[in-house]
Amino acid sequence: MKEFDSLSQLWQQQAPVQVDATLVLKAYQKERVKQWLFAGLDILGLMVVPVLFLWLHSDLSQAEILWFAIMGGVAFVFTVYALWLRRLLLLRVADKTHLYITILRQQTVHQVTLAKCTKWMTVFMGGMFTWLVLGIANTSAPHTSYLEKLLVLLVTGVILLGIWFWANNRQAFFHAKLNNDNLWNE
Amino acid sequence: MVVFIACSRRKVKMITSICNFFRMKETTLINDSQMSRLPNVIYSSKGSCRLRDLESILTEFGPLLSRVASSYEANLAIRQELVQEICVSVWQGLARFKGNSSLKTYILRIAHNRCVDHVAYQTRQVKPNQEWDETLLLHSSAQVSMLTELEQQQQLEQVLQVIRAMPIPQRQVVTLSMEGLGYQEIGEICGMNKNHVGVVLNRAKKHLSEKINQGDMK
Repeated sequence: MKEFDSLSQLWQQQAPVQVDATLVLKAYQKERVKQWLFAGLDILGLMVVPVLFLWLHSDLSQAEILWFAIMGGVAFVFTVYALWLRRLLLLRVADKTHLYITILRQQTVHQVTLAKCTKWMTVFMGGMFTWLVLGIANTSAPHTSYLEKLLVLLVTGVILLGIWFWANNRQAFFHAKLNNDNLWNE
Repeated sequence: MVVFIACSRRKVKMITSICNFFRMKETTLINDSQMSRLPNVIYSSKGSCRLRDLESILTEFGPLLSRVASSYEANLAIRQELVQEICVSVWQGLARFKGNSSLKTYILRIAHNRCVDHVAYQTRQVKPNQEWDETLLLHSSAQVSMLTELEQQQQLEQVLQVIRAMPIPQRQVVTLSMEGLGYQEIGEICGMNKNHVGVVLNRAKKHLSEKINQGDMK
């Protein structure tokens, strides 16, 4: 007991890290802007499909409208889910740590799922784009040359591949977080 | 036209509610009775927090937050960043303080949770080589000789190493106990009942004592 008391005294004697209040306020403002930017980007990403639809809707065939509906629906579900996950921990920051860790773990599990879904989404979107561009459903631009179609597919493929690797990286990161024994074990 | 206006109003309302959803409210959530529970923290008549309020919070709780960070992060540069991040989280969290617990308990909860985030984020980060940590230099007093001070620094370094290797619940309980908090308060922060706190603390003390004695033997 006495040993612990002396350790407590020693503990209290640690020299603190000095913190500048102005820097904290600046960091706080920056954090808020960042949160807004992330939310804005999510919502902006959600707008792409409806805007494209409104712009092109008079020239679209029924199959293409279906394409837009599916893409829009999936994008909406994904965005709402991602926003909910991001918001969750911000609101729970003052919870009891045991509860916070449980939520953090749940969120990490969700993040792994989200990353897996994103990977599958890129495959799905690749298929959808191929379907659209190769003219299976395309009636709006039937005279586009194969070279142009190939170019569009190539660019889309590179972008989707980039997203796939990014999601794969995130999946590995969150998986490592789940396997962090120091965090979850008692 | 009427339909258009109605739709616009609905859109404005929707946008406003979305804005509110994302806004971290700074000013309105602390009422007068709750304000009286904030010791030594000056709030303006409208309840808004300003720079001097933050300064007074940092003066009062800064060393405590720094010690919390030291139990989670060994690297000095990263620890400085962590302390700043904790302060930002505390500042954000203060807007939602409802006075259900003491301010110290509330702030400690935020600080520990922020550190848990830090540990989770650092999962895949490469740990840099641990260098001599200048912040471990103790508050020196004239009576303490250089040799004693050096011994104490080494002992503190040893204690910190053992604590940082503990699982988070044990680490929390032992450091909060060293901060002088009672079982009830520790339980409020960690989310354990008093008996569980006692069990975890005893286990942690025993472990700490064993490790330190092993270190002395070497």
